[in-house]
Amino acid sequence: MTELTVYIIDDDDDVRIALSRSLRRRGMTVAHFPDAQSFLDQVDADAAGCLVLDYGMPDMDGLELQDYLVRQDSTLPIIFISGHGGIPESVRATKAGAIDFLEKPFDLSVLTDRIAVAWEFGEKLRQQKARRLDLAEKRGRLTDREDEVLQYILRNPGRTTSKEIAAELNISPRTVEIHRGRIQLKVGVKTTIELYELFGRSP
Amino acid sequence: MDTTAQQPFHQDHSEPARRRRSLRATLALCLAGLQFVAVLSVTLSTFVSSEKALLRQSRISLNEVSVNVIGQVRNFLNPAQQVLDATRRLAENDVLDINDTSALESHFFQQIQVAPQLAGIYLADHSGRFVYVMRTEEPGRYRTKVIPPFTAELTEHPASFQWRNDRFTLLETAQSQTDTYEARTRPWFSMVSEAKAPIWTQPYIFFTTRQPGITYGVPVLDDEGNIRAILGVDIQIDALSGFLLDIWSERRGAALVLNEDGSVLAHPTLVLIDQDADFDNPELPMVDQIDDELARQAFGALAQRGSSQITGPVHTDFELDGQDYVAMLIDVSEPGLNWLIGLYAAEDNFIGEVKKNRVQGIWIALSIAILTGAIGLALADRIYAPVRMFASQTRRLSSGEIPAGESLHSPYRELEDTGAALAQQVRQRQRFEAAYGRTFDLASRGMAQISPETGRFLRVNEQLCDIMGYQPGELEKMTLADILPADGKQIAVTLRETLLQDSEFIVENPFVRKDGSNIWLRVNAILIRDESGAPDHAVAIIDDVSDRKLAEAEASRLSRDLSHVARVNLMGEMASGLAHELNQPLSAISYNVDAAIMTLDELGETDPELTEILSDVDRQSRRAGDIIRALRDMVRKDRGRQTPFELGGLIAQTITLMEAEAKAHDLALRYDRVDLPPVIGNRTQIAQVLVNLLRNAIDALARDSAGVGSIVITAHAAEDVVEVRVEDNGPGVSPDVVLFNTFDTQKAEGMGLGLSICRTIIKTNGGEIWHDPSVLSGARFCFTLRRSDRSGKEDT
Repeated sequence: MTELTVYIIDDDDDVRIALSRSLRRRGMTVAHFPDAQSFLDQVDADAAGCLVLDYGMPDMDGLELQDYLVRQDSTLPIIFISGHGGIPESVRATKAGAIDFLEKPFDLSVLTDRIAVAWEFGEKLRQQKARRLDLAEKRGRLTDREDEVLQYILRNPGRTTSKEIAAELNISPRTVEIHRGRIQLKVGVKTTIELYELFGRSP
Repeated sequence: MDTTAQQPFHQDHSEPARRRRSLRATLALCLAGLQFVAVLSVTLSTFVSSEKALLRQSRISLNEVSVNVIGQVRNFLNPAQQVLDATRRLAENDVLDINDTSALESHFFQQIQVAPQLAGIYLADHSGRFVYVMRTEEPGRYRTKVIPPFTAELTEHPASFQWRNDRFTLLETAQSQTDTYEARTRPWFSMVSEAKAPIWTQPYIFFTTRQPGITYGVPVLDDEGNIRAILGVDIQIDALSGFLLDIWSERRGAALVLNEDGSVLAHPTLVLIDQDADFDNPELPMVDQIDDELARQAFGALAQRGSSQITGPVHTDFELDGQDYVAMLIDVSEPGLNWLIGLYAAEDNFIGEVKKNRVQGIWIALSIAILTGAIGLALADRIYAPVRMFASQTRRLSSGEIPAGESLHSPYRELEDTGAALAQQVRQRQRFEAAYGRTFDLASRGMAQISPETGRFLRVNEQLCDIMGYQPGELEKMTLADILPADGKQIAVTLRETLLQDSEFIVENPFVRKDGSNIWLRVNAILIRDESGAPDHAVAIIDDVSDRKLAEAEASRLSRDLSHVARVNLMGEMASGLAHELNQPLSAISYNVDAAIMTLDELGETDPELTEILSDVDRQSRRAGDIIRALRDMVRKDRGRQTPFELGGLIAQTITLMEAEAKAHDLALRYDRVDLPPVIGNRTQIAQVLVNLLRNAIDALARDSAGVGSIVITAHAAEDVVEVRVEDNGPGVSPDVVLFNTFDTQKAEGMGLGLSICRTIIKTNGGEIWHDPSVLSGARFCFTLRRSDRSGKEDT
């Protein structure tokens, strides 16, 4: 497991440095940036840890960075901090997936709690993303016809005999048998039940 | 063309005509008057000339009479002169011995019978001798008085008297020793002694007969020219009266003989010496005292001036008791005799017949005048008849009874031409009136014709009826004052005064509609005068300005609200800005204290006081944070009610508020109003946003004086919102300014709160505000507001 890092982005130097100092004293790994762009330049969107993000900043503000990261399918959880956070802004931020929206000055214990939650949440996200990428890679190995057969199987769990599939796809049952064998081989499963476990009921 | 429209014009023409004279009357008057004057002048001139001739004639007649009278007077006096002159010659040539008394008596007796007016003849000399033959009162009886010479000192002396008949027969004799007569003291004696020539005495009353008379005296001279004796003859002039009576017995007139002192010597009828007059000193009456009114009138004044003034004949005219008289005064022109002859007579004596003829002539002339006058009138009527017919045709033409297409006919070429021109005029006027009437009736604004004097509505159009809520025809019975509210009646007076000074009348005031509701009207009136310049009617254009007045009232209310909201917003924004700015350092303090406490723990330092100090710092910084948060929350709470409203109206009102400020900087402020869906928000706060954006634009344009500054507001509806843009062509936004930040500004005197407040307000009202940098020049600020008709799509 890689080291978890707290990334702090705040345009106010005093706040940013004091906050970093305080968190480091608590044994956390902290990286801080004065603006969104320098963060994006230096940190991977799937970095392990969490992002403590100031809401109001010049150029790209907190919400804009959040949008950007969501679009990048980032797995980095975000905790907003704000000098004058209003309810509408906090609602918007949490709707878009933020862990929390803290108003300055906040209690550091609250922040560390949130950071802990974020780390767990981030870990889950990274795993989900890895699995999703794995499945996508496996499915990428199938031919078009094989994918078609797989889709049918996943969509119609009650009608999984080769005859039924052959009738539906207008091909011979024998061909269906061959396709099923190749699919199971390519994605690395031995039974149709395992296919359902891997891909779920609807792709 | 309707008749009501025509009515005022019809009156226009008949009104001045009434003031002028009728042609017919003028014509008749001229014809009749002219011939009347002609007849009259001829008659009058005849009258005047005949009057002169008559007067001349009567004077000539009088002159003739006077010559006659003078001749008679001379004839009356002549015998006395002849008698005495002859006696004198006889005496001087010694044919008659004057010392022989009996010869003298005999001679005197002969001579006295020559003429009846000779009252007595006598001779006197310086010795006191006196021989006197005289008539007595008894006809045919004569008396001789002889006084022998006596000393002048003696008062009494002897005298002898003989009475004889006309045949010289002695009838009686008498002697007196106590006679008192003294010839040498008599006036005639002294006058002749002095003059040594013949004299006439002044008239006097004879001692013996008590009748008026005069004496003619002559001297008897010797060869040396000494007076030997003096001869005298008495003439009794009352006999003249009888002769005067003869001259003029039957006519109303008389001849008088007057002395130079104005006393009357002879009068045809009057007894001149009263019986009761002073016996010793009887006097002749003066002409202005006698009992003859006519004589007094004629000669009273003239006689008093004395005869010396009268050389030729003096004529006078006078009137008494309605009768005209002529009078004349002329002197007798006898040497030594200053008598005047006075004549008067009624004018009729000479010219009565002529006068009668003259009256007749005047009557004839008058009759001719009346006759010719009547003929003149008839002629005038005949000449006028076609004119009258033309006039009636004209009236019917102008009132529309005859179509204007028909021309007017008349036997007079001039009238025919005039008729054609008139018909042309009427056609033109009818076309104009039709057009005017249509304009009046179809005008989109209220119009009225108003009497300037009374304020009465003469004519109103349908639009005005609609505005005032009256049925057509109702307003024509009312005046301007009737539709004014009780406290605005003076406007009707102002209207009249303003119009009569030929000024345009403009007023905006509430008026009362028929249903009693108030309505703001703008009345704009001018006066129309008729051809003679007299006020005819006023034309008023009347607009309903209630909406505008309402908008003005709303704008001013908005202005009041804005100033309040602006204060609240300014305070809120300052608090909010301060909170944000202070939050950062407070947060930093808090985190640093936390880090310090952690560091202390790691170092194992156990100075409890240091830990406590740090804890206090942490707590105090949080407390400061709490205060700021509380302040911000407090301000944020008062955001007003958000309701749907019409954005276009608000923009228009805001522009009204800001127009003065824009004009002060020569800036054009424009809003192209389009139909917008209603939006939701706090109306006053949105107005604040618009004011702030406009003020920013105005300030930016005012700073940059190049070119003509203009600010344009546009608004358009999008899916869920309405977007408003405020654009200016000023210098634009400097790249190094962070917009919408509190306390960040480009203005020298600004606080940097304007845009910040805008952002807060717009966000509070659920919209967005931003600066659009895509414009090439100037600045464009945009904001959105939620549409109230799409309320389902709210974020919360």
